[in-house]
Amino acid sequence: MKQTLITLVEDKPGVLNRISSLFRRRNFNIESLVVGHSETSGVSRMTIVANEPEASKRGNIYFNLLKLVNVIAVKDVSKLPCISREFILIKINIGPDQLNEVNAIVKQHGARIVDMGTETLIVEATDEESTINKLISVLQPYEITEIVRTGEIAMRRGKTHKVSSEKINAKVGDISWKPEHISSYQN
Amino acid sequence: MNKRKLSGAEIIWECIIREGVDVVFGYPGGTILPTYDALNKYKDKVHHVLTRHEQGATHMADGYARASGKVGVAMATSGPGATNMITGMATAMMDSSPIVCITGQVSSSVIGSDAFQEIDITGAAIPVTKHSYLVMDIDELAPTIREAFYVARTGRPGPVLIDIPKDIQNDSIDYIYPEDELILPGYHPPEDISEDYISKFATMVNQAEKPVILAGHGVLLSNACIEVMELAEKSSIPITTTLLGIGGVPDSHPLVLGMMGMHGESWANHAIQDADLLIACGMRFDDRVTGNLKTYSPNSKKIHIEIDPSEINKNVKVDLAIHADLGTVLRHVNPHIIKLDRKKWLDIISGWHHDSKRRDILNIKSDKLLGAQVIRKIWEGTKGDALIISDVGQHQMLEAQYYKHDDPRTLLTSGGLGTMGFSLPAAIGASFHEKDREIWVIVGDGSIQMTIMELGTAMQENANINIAIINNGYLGMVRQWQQMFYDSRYAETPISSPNYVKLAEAYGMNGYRVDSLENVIPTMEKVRKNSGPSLIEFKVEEHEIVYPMVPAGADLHEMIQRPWDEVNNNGQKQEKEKVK
Amino acid sequence: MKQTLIVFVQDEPGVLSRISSHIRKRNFNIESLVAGRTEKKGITRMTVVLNEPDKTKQQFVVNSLKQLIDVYDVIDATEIDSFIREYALVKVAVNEDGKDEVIKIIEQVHCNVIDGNEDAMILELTGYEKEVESAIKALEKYEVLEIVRSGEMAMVAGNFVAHKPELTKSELNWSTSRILESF
Repeated sequence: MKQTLITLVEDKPGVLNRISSLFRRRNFNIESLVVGHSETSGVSRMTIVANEPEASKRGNIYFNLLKLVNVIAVKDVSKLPCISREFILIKINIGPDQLNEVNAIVKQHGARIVDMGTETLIVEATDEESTINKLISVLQPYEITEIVRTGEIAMRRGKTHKVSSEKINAKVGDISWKPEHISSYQN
Repeated sequence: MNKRKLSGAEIIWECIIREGVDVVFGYPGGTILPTYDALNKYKDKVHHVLTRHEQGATHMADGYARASGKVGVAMATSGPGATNMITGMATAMMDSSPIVCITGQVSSSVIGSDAFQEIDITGAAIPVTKHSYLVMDIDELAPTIREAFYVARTGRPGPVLIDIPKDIQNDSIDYIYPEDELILPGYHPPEDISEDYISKFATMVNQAEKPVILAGHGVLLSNACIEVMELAEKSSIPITTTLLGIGGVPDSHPLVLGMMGMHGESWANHAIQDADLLIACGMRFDDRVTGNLKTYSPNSKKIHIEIDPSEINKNVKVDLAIHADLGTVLRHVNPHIIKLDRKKWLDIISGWHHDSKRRDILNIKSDKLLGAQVIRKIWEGTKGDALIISDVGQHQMLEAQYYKHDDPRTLLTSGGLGTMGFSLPAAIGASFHEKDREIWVIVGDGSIQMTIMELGTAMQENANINIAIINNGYLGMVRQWQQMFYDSRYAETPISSPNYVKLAEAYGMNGYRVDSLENVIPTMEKVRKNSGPSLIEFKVEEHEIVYPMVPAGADLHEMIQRPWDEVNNNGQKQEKEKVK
Repeated sequence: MKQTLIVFVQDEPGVLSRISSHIRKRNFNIESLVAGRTEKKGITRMTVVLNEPDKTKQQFVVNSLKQLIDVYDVIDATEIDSFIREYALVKVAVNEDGKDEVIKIIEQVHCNVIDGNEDAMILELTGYEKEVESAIKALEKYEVLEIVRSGEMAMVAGNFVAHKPELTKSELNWSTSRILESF
């Protein structure tokens, strides 16, 4: 089962290294990992997608992540209502005669052309992973020269609580970031 | 607060002293020089032990930590000094031992340039430490050291590394010790005890017919020895221990079955396989304990009490998981436990006893001295009252089987990592805590030669340790595997030894050699009169095998027992025999 | 000044750990790192943004990354004409009345409203880093509950051969080319 973990970490050198090293040495497989700034300075936010069929193994990933000293909070949003998006840039080589055709396809899939060179154009799209994959497949007949994609980025729907800097400093007491209970990973 | 202008080097010592440290094990070198220079000012408060190798320093800090329950401190220079500490840190990591390792680093301006004796030890230590720090700002130095000690000793204890560049040690600031509450946003204490779990726990115990307690290292780390015994005695539950759990419960107690697992007592393993409830207390279901996971205790419900939630459901799926401090949980649970005598269950277990006890190696009359006999004699000679530090191999398993430990923290050994060469340095470290206790190092001829240079440290510190080398001329445990699983093709297992008596003399200590059973106790008596380190070499039977044995990956009840032939013919014939 | 690198690596377990460990070991600070699959099977593409003003050091990090066995090629996109975008999800707490106003504010940047239940809206921003930043700033007059940002993602503009990565690396000419490069 796909497991999406929103992870808040201290913004310190080497933290990404610690997390990726954990996944490597425990032999957990990550599908994607996205790291960027969060709403609080000094805190980075990661979306980690793993794929382990067994609940106990997913619990293991969760608790091993939580155990790292630089990890402030982890929320397993796999079963929570949340949006999960991906951002992609695709560069295509095309002749001038194909431009309209491509433009139509791109528009139809909710994407947009953001840069146009003499022989190339860059398409940008933001959507759910499955839609992004579909977009790639419809553009496949043209010459795709480069793809950059972020991996999945997740956010819970509805009102959640802000993790304020004071809270970071005084542990994350907020209920919405409270650690999961072990029993939630029991089969 | 009194402000003082102090150098980084001085701050290191100030902070260490504030943590209650009075002994540091280390080895100086280029990038840690400023700190060693500052040591001169703190000589009256901290005793520094110069080791012969940085690995020794980490094992000494580890031994000190295990014996005392306090944090041990090791110090080394950058580069090779730091990398030599990796084995020691990994040993402490696997066995949850709180140590803080301080290493020098090249100046912060040249980090990353492959400078002389530069190595990224902060990164290299990630997999082998609980946490590692690189201090790049002198303002961060004191808070980091404080944090490091806190992380090392709280929760599930473990090693922490602090890497300090030379310029930070030389720099100086107005030093104020941070007195405010220590807050680590990413460090999560265990959850509160919930009533729900307490009642579930109690019901499971009260309803079980064939329960077994599995006592691990956590019993000692949580100081829950009394609580575990209370639970066992109230409900008459037999207890079996892991290797590191030995000493947590008194071995002479009728409910204590002894060690479980690969070389555990057969009746203990049978009890686990036959049980309908396992109560795992502060242990992690290591593969050496479970055997084949698919057939492990198939009919039992399992309760797992563990401070580290990432250990729960890792190897064995459990029915009730409690992420909390063991002692606290049991203090809540014990009042709800009903008094039971469980006569039927205990009788079944003693049935298994009978058969196995007759196969005991001590029943064999052997011409040669046996390792098991030596260890049993050491137990008799010390009245079970000594602090034993065993190394890794056959002698380690024999020690676990034939030396009965009744008190907590009387056996120190490298369990998880199985680090050969651990015992001698760990004993030196432990001797700084257990100043009045008799200390015995039980070590094989292979293991002692891995860290034999620490004999020099033992002499230098006049450490009150007795070293018993069980010399069988082989890397015994590996030889045993070769004999059993590789048709006795002994590849590179015979190992030569120096003349240990002369070696002891060369180091200036008393050395003895014993090759007969009658001489064991008299020589021990001689050694006990000596102050400072002494060494006895026991020349023992070369082909002794540790039974029972569960082959790696086999079912826990499929142990190989000592063949009857061998018992009847006094060790003449050795043959495999499986007992179901 | 920031340095933006496009790194092509072999897609295998632990490669992220190798790259991040290598950069940390060399004492560079990672500002952001984005890793994702590409059009070629078995190749992961990373955009790594480092905070390193020194030109020589910038060159050094590129060369030392190329030295890693898992790395196919590294393109320093800092000074070539490239297209660098960032993506962010922002959750703001607004009630029914405030929604129109929020939409008005964010019309300037490319922005989608992707979730808008009673009291919180999730907005999706894409643009150059500065655009994303200013949009977030503009939203700060509302209560911003959560922000997730992807980090910067770079793609070299145009179709110049010189900016094409070397993605076929036969064992032999891999080592020889490395040796030649070092002269």
